[in-house]
Amino acid sequence: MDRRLVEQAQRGDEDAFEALVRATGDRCVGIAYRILRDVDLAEDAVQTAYVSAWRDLRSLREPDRFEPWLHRTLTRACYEEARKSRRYAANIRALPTESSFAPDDVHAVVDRDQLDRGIRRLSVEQRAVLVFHHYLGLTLPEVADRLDIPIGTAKSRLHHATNAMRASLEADARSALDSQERPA
Amino acid sequence: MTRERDVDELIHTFMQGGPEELSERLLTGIRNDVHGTKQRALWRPWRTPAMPRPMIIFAALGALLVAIAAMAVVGTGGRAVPSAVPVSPSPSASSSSSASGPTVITYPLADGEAWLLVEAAHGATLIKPNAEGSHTILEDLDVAVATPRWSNDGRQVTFEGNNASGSQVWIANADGTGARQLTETPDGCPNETCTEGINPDWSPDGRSIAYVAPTHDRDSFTKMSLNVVDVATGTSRELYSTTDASLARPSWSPDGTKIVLEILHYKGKPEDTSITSSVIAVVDVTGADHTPRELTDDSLLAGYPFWHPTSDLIVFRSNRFDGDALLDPAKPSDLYTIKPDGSGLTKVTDNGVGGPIVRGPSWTPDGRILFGKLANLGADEFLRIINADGTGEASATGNLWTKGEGKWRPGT
Repeated sequence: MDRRLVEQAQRGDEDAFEALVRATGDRCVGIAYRILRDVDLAEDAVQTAYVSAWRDLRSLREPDRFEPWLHRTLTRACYEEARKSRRYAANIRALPTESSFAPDDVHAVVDRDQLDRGIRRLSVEQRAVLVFHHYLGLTLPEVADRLDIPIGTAKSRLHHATNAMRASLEADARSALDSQERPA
Repeated sequence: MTRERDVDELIHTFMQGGPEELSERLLTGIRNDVHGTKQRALWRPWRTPAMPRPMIIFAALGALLVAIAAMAVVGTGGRAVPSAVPVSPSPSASSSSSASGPTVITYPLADGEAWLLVEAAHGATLIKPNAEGSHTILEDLDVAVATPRWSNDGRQVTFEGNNASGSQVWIANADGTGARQLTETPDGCPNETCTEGINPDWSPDGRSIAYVAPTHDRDSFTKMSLNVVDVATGTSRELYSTTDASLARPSWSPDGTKIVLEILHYKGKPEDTSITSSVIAVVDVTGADHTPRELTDDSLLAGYPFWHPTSDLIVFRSNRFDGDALLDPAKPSDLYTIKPDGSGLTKVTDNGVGGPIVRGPSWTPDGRILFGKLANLGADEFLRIINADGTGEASATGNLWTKGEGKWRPGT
């Protein structure tokens, strides 16, 4: 990240901030989508996060840490969007189809659906830890630092989320097996 | 099918799929919103929002006089008395405002010299009151350092060391040298059944350390225990254990006969669901019955208790803050004190719903409360200090931003 751009933006330069948005936006959309599992909610969270970041940019003491700081702001925006979406659950739209798995890979498609169901059952805080660990590839101390939570909390959330995912996958597998064995 | 594949690998692969592109439409929306939004001025902890300009000038002049007086004390070889007088930011303070900044202290720590011990992202940070200097210790270990606490003589520290094999209790000299792991699990975490060691607290006589021991296998917790380890031998004994709650943050009474701790209740098993409530409770260490006696009810969401260094008084905070959210956003975050028999519940702060958030209170040697404070959700955290009756709140470390709970060096 260009430190000069951050410092210019801290002095109120909107063009510099837009350059920062262009440089970091794709990753922010990726993070928000993976936490919220909804494109519209994710875009709302990203927009909220950047406006918050702009408003509070002068409080950033280390310009070199702009992106970690931004990700923390983004995560809080995701939490807020998730809370709003729980209040207005009827407005949540269906998840669009993802494109990362080959359509002819039947097992992968099954896994993808199961994984999506499993992740949706997690709390939004647990999802955030999974995203920062598996999507951004951060270590647990780095996840804790990025999310501004104690290491023990990060570890606990990752542990619980992984266990819940495993349990969810196994429950789905059992359910699929039952339906296959059931007479037509 | 899925059982045969590693769930971590599945999640990792799954996370790589999905949108990750900032659309021009979204960029336009951000641009328009930013154009109509004014940037906030810096928040200064020594300045309250309601403080009028003449008072700010008066406060700045007062701080300047305090600084001059402090320099005079140092110049005569005297030692400045720890003070919670608010100070304005100075060039020297800002130069030491980073935990990784230049070293400004010498070792070993002088007897009677006041230091604050604060958890940091990579190690633990020693900070002088009023931010005259800071230095990170324990940063070269192969474990991440969490929840550090002083020994009662202020010469050693205990902390939990985290790595991929789990967490265990460690001890070290106060300057970070001589670090060694004190507890261990025979089978190794996280693949087999193992017992970790977290949240250590040194006993007043220095011979023992109380800690929380979560025991779990690969899939789930089997129990949470309150243990005490003998520092000389490394032998642990279990005081109390439970299978339907989580334990946290033990703190010894000054006579070493009791321990106060936090008990977290879950809706279901701890590994399946999130926390629903928390209480603080006292465990009798010396008697035959170590069952915790709860001091608070669920409604207060009490946690992070810390016993007064010389008297029967416990400070705690309401409404757990996990670093990114309050346990109940519809309730305030406040400091309280209570006697170990459950009487004398006293509210120290009055923050209100949506107001400031307090974290990790502890006592200073002279009986004031040191705590972390965020002006609001998402704001920077500062160490503050307040009298037990709620008066005299001030910054504990000048304008130095900190992250994590602070502990004042005992005896200083």
